[in-house]
Amino acid sequence: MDFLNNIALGLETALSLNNLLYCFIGVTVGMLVGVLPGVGALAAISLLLPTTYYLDPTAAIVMLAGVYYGSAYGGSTASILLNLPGTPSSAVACIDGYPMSQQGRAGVALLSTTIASFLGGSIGILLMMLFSPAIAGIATRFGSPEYFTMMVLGLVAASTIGLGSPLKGIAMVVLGMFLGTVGTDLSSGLSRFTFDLPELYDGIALVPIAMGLFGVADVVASVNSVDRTTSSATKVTLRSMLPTADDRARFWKPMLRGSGIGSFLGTLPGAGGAIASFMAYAVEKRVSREPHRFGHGAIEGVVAPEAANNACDQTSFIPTLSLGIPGSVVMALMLGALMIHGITPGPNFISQQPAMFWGLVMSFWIGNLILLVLNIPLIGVWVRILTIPYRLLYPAIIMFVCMGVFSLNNSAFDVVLVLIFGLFGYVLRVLGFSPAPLILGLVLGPMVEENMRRSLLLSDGDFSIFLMRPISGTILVFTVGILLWTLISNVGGMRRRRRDGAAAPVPASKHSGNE
Amino acid sequence: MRQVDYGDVFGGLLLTGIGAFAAIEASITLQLGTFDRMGPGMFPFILGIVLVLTGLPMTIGGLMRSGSLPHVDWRPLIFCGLAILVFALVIRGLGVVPAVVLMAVTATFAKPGWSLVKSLALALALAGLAVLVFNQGLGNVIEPFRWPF
Repeated sequence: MDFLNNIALGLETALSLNNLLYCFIGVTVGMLVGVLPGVGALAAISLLLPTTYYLDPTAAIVMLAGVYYGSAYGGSTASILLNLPGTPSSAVACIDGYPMSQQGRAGVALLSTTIASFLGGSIGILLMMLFSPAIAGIATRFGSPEYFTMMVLGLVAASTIGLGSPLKGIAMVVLGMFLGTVGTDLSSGLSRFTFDLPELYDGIALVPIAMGLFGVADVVASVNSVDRTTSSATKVTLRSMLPTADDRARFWKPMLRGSGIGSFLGTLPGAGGAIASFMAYAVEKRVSREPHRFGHGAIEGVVAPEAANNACDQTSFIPTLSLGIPGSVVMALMLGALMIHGITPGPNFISQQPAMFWGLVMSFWIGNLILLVLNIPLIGVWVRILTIPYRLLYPAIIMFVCMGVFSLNNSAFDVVLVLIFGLFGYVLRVLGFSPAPLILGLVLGPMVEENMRRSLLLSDGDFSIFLMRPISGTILVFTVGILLWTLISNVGGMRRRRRDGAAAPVPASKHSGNE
Repeated sequence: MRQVDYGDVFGGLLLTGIGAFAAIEASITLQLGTFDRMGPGMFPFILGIVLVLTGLPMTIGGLMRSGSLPHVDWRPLIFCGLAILVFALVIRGLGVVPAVVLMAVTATFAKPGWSLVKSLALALALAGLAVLVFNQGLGNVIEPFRWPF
């Protein structure tokens, strides 16, 4: 009965005109951003962070979330039609999606990925509804040591599980945490690393850093490389979208498998949509009785990854909202947005703000439905949007970045911060670092320090407290396990690389890692 | 000059440098405290050490490995950077429209091959959009035009 009450409360919140409007705006922007290569959900959310100041918190998160899962819908459009992924998590869709469009089956591919995305997302939302309250319940037994080890796990996972060198990932996380120490230390009142600049007394704000590292650095990296040729955007009619009976038979199991994999990976810190879609593809190929079809237009190869990344995006809200620990950079930004309004998600979030939580959950349903409706008839529109040349787009992006950051505090200093971090972010990319874990470190750093301090205070400086307490100890063992596993698999990789004499591959992505 | 993995060497040196700075500054300027009563300097100190520990292997590994010089898009970097700088310098003095226009025109230089006329047109359009979204839509910020004298 309680469950139904919650749903009713959620619907009441989600269906308010204000929240509906922002849900619609969010998913449309998300869809747009997903379709356009060169602009990612991360950049879009960073750009929208300033506007959340003027909105009430529920509407703000509804909108940002809409951008997030909306982009998972749009990303596959560019992958299928242009062999150019709109978002990192839809890169896999290129492998079988583009051949499908070359065979004249673009419409079928687009329709199946839309439906797979919807069903995958729905499964994710369902799991969210069922499990978040339960997890929050367990989390009330968490003390400072548990929070500390949990956050460390999140940071370790985020830096090592992703694509790219784990050493570099860890370095980024630690660097982010260090940047988080800039400002006035709450416990002692002393200012750290501020170089006597009053603007830094409150620390380096999240928004300028995010906008610089992602918005600006993305743009600089994309100006030369994103060049959309006159696409083979074939006329995609409604009729061409109808799947054959064979397609329909091949749809269900991959979709379910993909949703399962995505839902599971979403709850893990550090595993984002990209990894979920890669894994789903790999699993499909492994279990298929005709693996040779993959790479040549196998519909399973698009359906499973797309279901996976949508499911993953939805379930990644679970640890964020019920524990207050973001599992990925986007979640960290969402957390940042909530904290701007003075709301700190954690185990008490669900019980203290039921309207917001259930309203958010219900808005996910509504958002996914809107996207389903938006996608099917409007595919032609999205296709035409793909033809906007990037040289028109990037000055617009820079404009939004500058105006957005400036409007926060009427501070030109903030804009300069964006510039500095934009340059820094680009340098990081060029050197093969992924800036995403840095933000995670920045957001979690202060909390990690606080919890560490409190735990050591409790134990009188004894570090074994982290191991002795059961929950904390288990998490710690798990963390060490992940570290060892990545170390071992990396050493093996390095040995292989040295034998082949090839240089270590540099992930030259214009999007950051964990999206 | 011997071939090294410039990317990793440079990245590693950068990390080691930042880490060393953090650790040294933390231990000199701030109090480290003891483990059971952590001072403000303890956490940055630990972070600094970890950074050095990640940076050094990276540098050493890079020196032993061969790699290519990382590719930098200089033109976009310089002009996008300049564009933002121009904006920051102009916005408080002259308002939204001049700032956006100057910023956008500077930014269009990042991609060669466009006429100044087209750049100006885009810049004006963006300025209009900025006024629409930020002044009317969000109702605040600095005025479209400002005369400081």
